[in-house]
Amino acid sequence: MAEKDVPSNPGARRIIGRLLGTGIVGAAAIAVIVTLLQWQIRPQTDDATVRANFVGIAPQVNGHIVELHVRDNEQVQEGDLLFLIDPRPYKIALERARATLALTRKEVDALKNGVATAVAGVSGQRPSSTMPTII
Amino acid sequence: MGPQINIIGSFFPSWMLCALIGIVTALFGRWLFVRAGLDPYVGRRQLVYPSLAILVTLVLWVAFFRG
Repeated sequence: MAEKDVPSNPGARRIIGRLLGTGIVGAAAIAVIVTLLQWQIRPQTDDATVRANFVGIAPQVNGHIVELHVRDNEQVQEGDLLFLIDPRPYKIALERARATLALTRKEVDALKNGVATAVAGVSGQRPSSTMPTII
Repeated sequence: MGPQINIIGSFFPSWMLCALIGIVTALFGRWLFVRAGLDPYVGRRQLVYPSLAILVTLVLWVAFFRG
C-alpha cells in the first residue's frame, strides 16, 4: 500500500510529510503543556461551593437610613462609609441643647447681675467710714 | 469537569465531545495524508495520528470550554 501511494516526486513529499508529522507531534506537545498550565492556573468546576464568614454590623444609634453606599457582596475597607443614618433628629436635639445652654447662660448672667446689684445695695447702706474702697 | 453538553436529551462532558471530534479529525487526516501520498513520510504513525487527535481535542476544549 505504501509503495502504491508513493508519489512521482518523493523528495518534496518526504519533506512535507516529515514537516507535517513533526509539526503535529510538536503542536500536540505544546497543546498538552498549555492545557496543563491552564488546569493549574485556572481550575474550573461546575459543582463548587464557597464558605465565607459573615460579620454582623449594627450602628450605635438608631434611625432611618437615607443613603446606602455599598452593594451586596462588595469589597469594603476599614473606615469606608457604608450607609448614612438620617442626621436631622440628632441635629435638632443638638440645636435644642445649644439653645438650652444659651438660655441657662443668660440666666446665670442675670443671677450674677442680681448678686452684683444686691452687693452694691448692701455696700451703700454701710457707714462711709467702713465702706470698702471700690477698685 | 467542565460544562455538560446536551445531546438529544443526554448530558455528556465537554471533553468527550472534543475527543470525539479529535478522533474523527485524526481519521480524516489519515485518509487525507494517504490520498496526498504523505502518509509514508509523516514518521511514526502510531505517534503522529494520536498526536493529531490530542491536538484537536485540546485546542477545541481550551478554546471553547475554558471560559
